[in-house]
Amino acid sequence: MKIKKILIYLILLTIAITFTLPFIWMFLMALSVDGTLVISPGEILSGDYSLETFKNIFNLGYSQYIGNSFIVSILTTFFQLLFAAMAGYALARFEFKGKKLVYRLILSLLMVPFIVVMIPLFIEMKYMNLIGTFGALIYPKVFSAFAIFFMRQFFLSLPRELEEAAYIDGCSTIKTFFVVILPQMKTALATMGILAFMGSWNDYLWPLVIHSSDTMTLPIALNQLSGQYTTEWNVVMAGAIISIIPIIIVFLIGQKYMVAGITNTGNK
Amino acid sequence: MLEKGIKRKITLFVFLGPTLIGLFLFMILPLLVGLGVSFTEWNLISNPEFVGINNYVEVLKSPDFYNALKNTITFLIFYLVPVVSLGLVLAVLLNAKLKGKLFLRITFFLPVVCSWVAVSMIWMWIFNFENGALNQILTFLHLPAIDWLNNPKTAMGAIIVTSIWKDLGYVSFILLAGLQDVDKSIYEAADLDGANKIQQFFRITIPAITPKIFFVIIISSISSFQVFDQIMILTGGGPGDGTTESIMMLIYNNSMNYYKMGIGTAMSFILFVIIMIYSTMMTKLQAKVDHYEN
Repeated sequence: MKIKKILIYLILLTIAITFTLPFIWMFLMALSVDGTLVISPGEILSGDYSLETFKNIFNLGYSQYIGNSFIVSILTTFFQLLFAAMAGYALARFEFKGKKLVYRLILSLLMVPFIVVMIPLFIEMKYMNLIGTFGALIYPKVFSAFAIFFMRQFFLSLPRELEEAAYIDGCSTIKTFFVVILPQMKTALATMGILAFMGSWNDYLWPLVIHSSDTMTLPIALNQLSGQYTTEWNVVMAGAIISIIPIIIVFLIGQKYMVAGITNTGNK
Repeated sequence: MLEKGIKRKITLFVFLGPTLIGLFLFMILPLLVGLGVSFTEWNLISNPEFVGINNYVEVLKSPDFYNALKNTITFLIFYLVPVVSLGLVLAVLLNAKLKGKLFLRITFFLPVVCSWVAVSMIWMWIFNFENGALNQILTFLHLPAIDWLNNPKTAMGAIIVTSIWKDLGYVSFILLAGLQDVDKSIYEAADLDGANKIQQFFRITIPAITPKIFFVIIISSISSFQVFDQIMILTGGGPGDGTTESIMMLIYNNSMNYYKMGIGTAMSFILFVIIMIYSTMMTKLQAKVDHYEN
């Protein structure tokens, strides 16, 4: 048994190291002075490294792109959570005409791939004169059938006692929702929030279609950077590292919610 | 809900209104507009011209579409089979009672949370002809260097390897969640009956996690049908004439580069139908295969 366990450790460790190598190379490359990296251990240890490239990245306008990415991701996440929680609550608890229809509609919208609405959304944004604005990047991503469905499922599993006590005390529905219910759903909000933030932070296709030089987010900026600095790998990797640091911090803080959220829902 | 009459209506509107308006403006309306546009010829400058089902006919006759379909299906098969099998192996290893789970979890999940652009940058260098990591290793072994991303024979393979690396942690953690739900007493009973570990794996583990395996296969297939980011960034659909171009890239190029909105929307609806047919088939297959739950 002991030997078997050591064997499993060794295999897993080998896989883990191989798995991490590309990241290690990325860091070493970003630190390299001339944008080359010889991967033999001797050369890696004796190489010239500096943080100079990271400074240069900020001279290329990266502070603006980081800001843009934060604006888009935070606003998208906030409004997606707010609207999805409210709609999910209504679908789980209220009785009203057309409730079944609304629920069915949301279930069918779950199946629609983004590409089917992408071209018409582009046309819509063009007619609303929104191309090149942050609104164009944010609005279509705020309303997520998946998030509404997720929240509804959560409310169905939430006991009614607390909110019923609030209603008996004469609290309005809106007040009950924000004061009594929202504090009970930290896990659901954290899970969905992290998924939404990650989706928005890493989004590539929609920003590619709709961005302008003023609203460029990090993935788009990074893609352009690699087009301009094709041979300067240190610049490209420094840009890549800067673009993944925030999401890695979010991941390290919320990794429990993130792994559970991604593996239970299949959304990434 | 306590409110009555008009107050009740207002409350209902506060909760559902924004969502319904948003879903209408950014999902339902685009769906309808897209369907309409798919029956027209339109370059966004002149007026749209009604052409009936011509766009659909044109797409289904065009060799570009079948080339993209072939590339997409090639990607799907050669990505899905390894990522699910390797994911299963990794999940089984991770299911052992181990210390350092947090470290392993973070390691295998790191590529999952990074953007496709950042991941592609790393692998673009690894596959680079001049001084990429892979060719450094080949040279060290006295083998000829290969221009991985610019060689029609290797470009799709390089894209697939990158995709497997990014998604392996994702797939294996979904399967691991399934493994952790398997009742341990079943294994103890099998031990008593003298079943060896390999028999146990195929007779107990695999049937028990069949629903999870189907779940992984279905969601990974749906995302493979829509493969775009990594191909766009790594090869741009090349080398040469669309050797790695996927359906999504064809839709993107037609609409955003050539401004053929009718062709682009028609293609996106065809892709939608393909995905729907595929998902329905897989769900039916799952119902046939999966007896364990009942």
